[in-house]
Amino acid sequence: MSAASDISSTAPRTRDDRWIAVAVLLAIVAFMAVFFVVPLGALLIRSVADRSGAFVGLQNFIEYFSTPALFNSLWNSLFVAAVTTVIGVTLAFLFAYALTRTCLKLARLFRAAAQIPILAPSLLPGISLVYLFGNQGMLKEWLFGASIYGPIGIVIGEVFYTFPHALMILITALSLTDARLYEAAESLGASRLRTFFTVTLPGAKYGLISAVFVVFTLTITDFGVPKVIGGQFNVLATDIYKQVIGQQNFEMGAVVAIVLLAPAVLAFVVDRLVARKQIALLSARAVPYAPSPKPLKDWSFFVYCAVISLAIVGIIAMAGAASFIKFWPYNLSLTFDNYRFDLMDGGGWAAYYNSIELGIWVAVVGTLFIFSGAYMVEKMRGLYALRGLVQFAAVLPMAVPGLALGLGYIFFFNYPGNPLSFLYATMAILVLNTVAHFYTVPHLTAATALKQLDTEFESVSQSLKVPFYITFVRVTLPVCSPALLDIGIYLFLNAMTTASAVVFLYAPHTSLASIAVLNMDDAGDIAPAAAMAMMIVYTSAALRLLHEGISFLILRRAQAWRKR
Amino acid sequence: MATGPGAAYLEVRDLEKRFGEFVALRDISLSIDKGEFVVFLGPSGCGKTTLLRAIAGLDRQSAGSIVQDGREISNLPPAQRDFGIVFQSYALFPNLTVESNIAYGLRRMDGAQKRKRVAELLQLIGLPGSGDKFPSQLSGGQQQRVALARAIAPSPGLLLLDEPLSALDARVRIHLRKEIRDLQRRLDVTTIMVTHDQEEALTMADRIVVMNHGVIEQIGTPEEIYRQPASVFVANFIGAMNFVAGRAMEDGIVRCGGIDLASDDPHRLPAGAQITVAIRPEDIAVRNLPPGGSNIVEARIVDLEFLGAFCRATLATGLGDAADLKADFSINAVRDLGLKPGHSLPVRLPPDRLVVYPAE
Repeated sequence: MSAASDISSTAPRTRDDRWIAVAVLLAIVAFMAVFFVVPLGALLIRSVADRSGAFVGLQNFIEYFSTPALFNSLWNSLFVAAVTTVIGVTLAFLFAYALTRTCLKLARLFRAAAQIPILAPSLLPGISLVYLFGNQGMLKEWLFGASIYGPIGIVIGEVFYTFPHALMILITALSLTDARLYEAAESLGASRLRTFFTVTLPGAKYGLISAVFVVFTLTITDFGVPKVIGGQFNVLATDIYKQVIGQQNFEMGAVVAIVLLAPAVLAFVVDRLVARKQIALLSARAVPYAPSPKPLKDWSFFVYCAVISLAIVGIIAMAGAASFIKFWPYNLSLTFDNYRFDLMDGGGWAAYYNSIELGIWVAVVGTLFIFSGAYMVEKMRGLYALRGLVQFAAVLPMAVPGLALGLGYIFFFNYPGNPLSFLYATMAILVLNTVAHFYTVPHLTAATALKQLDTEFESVSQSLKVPFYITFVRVTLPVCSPALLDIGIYLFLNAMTTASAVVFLYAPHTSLASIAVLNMDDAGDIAPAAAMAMMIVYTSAALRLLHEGISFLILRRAQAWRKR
Repeated sequence: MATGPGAAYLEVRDLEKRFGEFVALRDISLSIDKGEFVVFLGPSGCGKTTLLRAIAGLDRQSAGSIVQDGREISNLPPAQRDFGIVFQSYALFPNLTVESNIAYGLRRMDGAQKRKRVAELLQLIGLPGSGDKFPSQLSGGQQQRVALARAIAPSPGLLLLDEPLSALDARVRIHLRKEIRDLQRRLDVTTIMVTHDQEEALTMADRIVVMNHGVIEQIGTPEEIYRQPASVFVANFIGAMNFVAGRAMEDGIVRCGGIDLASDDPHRLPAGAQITVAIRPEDIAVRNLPPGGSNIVEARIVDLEFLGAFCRATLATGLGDAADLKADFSINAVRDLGLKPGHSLPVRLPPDRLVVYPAE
């Protein structure tokens, strides 16, 4: 379909068709308005108001920037994020290089190990690091007297937490390279080093930039790692929490949230611009690169990948071990006591079940909602304004830190007189918030899957007098089932592990597993906190395995009709 | 073919389509008879697909009207029109079997009726027993036939084919041309096909609508289009053609580079007008020239290109500055006359083969 015919094509379709498309698109616009835009607006308004709600202009910001205790956190955040980015992206790049460009033994195993951090809340690496390098830590001497509580701990924790995200982007970037470029370089007599700097790096350039921004944003907006291991080292994310939960200073909390929003939005904008260029780089005629064996190189990278994988597994294993130990380091006998959550504050087992419930709701409702929206955006004709609006709104949530969104929810839904205030302190608001917060990636996944379908399915249905929603159910959904599954799993995992937005929104009876980890750690019950964090890991891991199994079955069933 | 008003099955009047500033279709008027096979032919971007989609109602026109079988359908949504369509990509549903694909538009029928109709269609397209297969298990040509069966299953009054053969390799394409044409005759379904392949158009169509830049250049039978192209564009687009600049004289005489040639072209241009004279390479005669006959010019063979069934010669003549004529000579002629590059010989440009256009 040419660009020209895209602009016009006034969509003639039967009335019931159009009504449904408009309704779905409007529902998404309304949802994004109420559960994303307006809360952020409320956050903005609150940042320029005093306690009584009167407008005070930029006074809160002036106070923020003239109070060194607050202002220092900004530098701390930028510093930690920058160091994490440099270390994390370098490590991930080498790992991705090993996976894509060398004849690596056990590549699948390494790849799986590198994905593990995704299964855990970001509180978990913090807890593990306490056990490994804390005051009673097993490997305390490794730090030569330096303290893990502070920037060192935060950087290690964040590198762990962001590693799989950077790795996935870099694997994609490095897989895209055209093998013919290497053949050309070789035939022209370029050295290996020169080839690396003139072919490999430029080819992965956009992936690298993207990885840099993703790691930077994840780190600066993360709250779990610095909360547990930050000690006296304050960062923006923990400041918001302290201002709001500790000091009940909502205005200053709003100011910090907006200060935090700025670098995140900046990173987001740059990333979107780069993503656009990346697409232009793809060539359909590229020949995939197949590495040839080079024993020295291959084994060096094998050792490297083994070390990194062991570190990742080690951090998880430490939390796992700690959860079964009676009283570290004095009584190392094994016990299940730490899993008796009902004996601790933090929400008990109910919190865990709440997390499961939240995950299921978010996965089911979110997947159908987001996928339907993406379908209308991709496959309907006409309705340009509405489709454009939904497409635009869908990518915004990625730019907004969970803490900022959660705080906005307090201001908006807790506002006296808001007819939606009945949602406050319910499971529903956690579901809606989580769907809004994690909207972007599922939408893009769905859009990609839908773009691969023939553009004429809808036209064929119309010519055969079959309404589009029947084709949606009979063809589109089954064909996109792998993408639907991916989206559902993504939403479930994030609902299980997130502790940022929801930390402001849970009520005692809707406490979540990740919140329980946070609160038990806060109360000094660090072994039970490790145990609850491990419950999240077990659940996520089980689900991932289930996902693999179901994907395998779907693929096998679908093999009949998929391209052989 | 020409029928009076009211008798046509499909009547398109003054159709126009704009995309913002860009005019994709202008002044499109044509009528198609019942059972006719009409081909829209033109280069990519000429508006042929836009016109087809307007007739289907998939992309509505900006102005003008469409009447099908006496019913005004200009503003009806596709679902309320009466047509079946086959796309270039076939758009077969990959997760449904061949049977389910064909039955997709038969929702109103009950199970037994549906099965009967599907079996009938599978028979018709020569794929009995393939009903349980999935589209990806079929070859391209077979997929194409299934798409065709799906489109005609509800027995539409109008069949629209949007470049249906262009995704297939050459051998299958030629075979399917005939098959589609036979099927269309048997079903007597009015059919419009869009293609950019002139050979396809010439072999399949009852009538061809040649389009360029959003307007119709010519409507006619394949023979008319080939023999009497209405414009330089049509002459150039269909088949190979030589063009020579010249001037019109009295009595159908044209003068090119000082040589006078007679032309039987009924479209006489006023004496003195600047003209372009056209002749097809295969119409340039080299054997059995009437002694002392008219329209014979002396030519030197500059180049001789072997193309298998015939040879294409490049001839230098006195017809103009750049008048290198292309002429197709049979292998026999080349052998018998011992034609070689550098040889000179007389050739004839038969008057009934010379077409004359005003110079552009």
